[in-house]
Amino acid sequence: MNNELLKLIPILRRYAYTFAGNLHDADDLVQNTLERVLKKPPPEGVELAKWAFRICRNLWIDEYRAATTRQNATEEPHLQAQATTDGERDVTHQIEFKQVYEAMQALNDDQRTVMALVTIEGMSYQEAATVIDKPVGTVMSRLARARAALTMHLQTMRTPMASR
Amino acid sequence: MKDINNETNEAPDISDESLSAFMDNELPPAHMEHIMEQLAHDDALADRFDTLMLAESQRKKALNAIDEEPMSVGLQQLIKQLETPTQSAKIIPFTQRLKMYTPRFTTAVAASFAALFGFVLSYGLQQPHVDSSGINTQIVQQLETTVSGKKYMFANQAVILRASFKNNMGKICRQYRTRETTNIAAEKVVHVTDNIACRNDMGHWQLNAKIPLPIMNESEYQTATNHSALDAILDQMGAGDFFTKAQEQLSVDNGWQ
Repeated sequence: MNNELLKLIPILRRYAYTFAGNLHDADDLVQNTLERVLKKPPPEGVELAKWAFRICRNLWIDEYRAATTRQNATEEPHLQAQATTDGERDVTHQIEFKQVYEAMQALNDDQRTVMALVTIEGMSYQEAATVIDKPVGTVMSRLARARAALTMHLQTMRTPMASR
Repeated sequence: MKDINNETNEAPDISDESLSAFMDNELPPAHMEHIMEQLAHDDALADRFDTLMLAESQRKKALNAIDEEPMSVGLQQLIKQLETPTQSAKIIPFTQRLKMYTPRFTTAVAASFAALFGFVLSYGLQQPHVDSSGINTQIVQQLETTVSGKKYMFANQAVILRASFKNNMGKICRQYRTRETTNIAAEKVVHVTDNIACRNDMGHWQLNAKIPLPIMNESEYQTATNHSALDAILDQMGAGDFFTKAQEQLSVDNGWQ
């Protein structure tokens, strides 16, 4: 199982990042998820990836979402996104990453949750609706609003640079 | 600046919600078909859709970039623990291997490799621990019968033989790269590995080194190679003259004797 878990880590990080909106909390969430999976492996017949996603999601909803323990990090996305950046990293890449990071920060928790469930975990709208205990229409509208908000933020950020 | 909410008014029968659901293939077939037709004829709608798709693509790209970000210390420590129990028999962390087999490598260099690549590798320099079952039998056949430079597909795995050489013990070795695609959740993930196999005294191929490259999303194009790690291993194996194509062909013809 350990090897499978190791393979899952990159996707779990993306998943957790989509919930948390910053790498610090995302890594913390992934670490907690892995520890819990190790303590409580998936029941027979349940895919490890799905089990890990479920634990990650529940951890986020039950423990992280309400907590604002790392408010400082989330309030300074520039530091958060760039403190760990390799000096030789492509500058364009960094800017794009930062822009998306900031745009995702602007989404509310509900929007980020639906986005993680559908676009990273690969759930259908119906499955996502079951998880958040809302109608399918709510999933559809939250996702659409999240995408619209992301698009607008990215356009807003791109415009001043393009006009220089 | 474009306001996509205002743009919604340009095609009032197709909302942002519908476009978003269309992207996820979550609409009834008739509705999907309708949007498809509209996209073909309505430039404003097509523009809205393209804008959404662009943002979606940027989001995915940025999320993939997380793979390049260093992990927290806690997560790194947990990964080390995960690697230890199941792999200790065959795979020893790079830093330990370097200490065991390569005294001329300083700890600092070893540590920097580990920090840079964040991988473990299986590396048996004197007494390879990985037996022939460590290599897929189809790959063994390619090692035995094929010269370098060609790519072969086996189910979800692609293999390309890259070079042949003799190590410092006079054994014939071959370097090859595998590329395996697996489905994890909504994504296809590509695992690329550089490998070195050598023929043992019994004339069987044995896996001597395995260097996983960073895990990628399928949409990413792999250009990076862990040249430093690979070069270090080749150095330690005493890889001298690499075979020419003609020498490889001759070796293949002679069954690598």
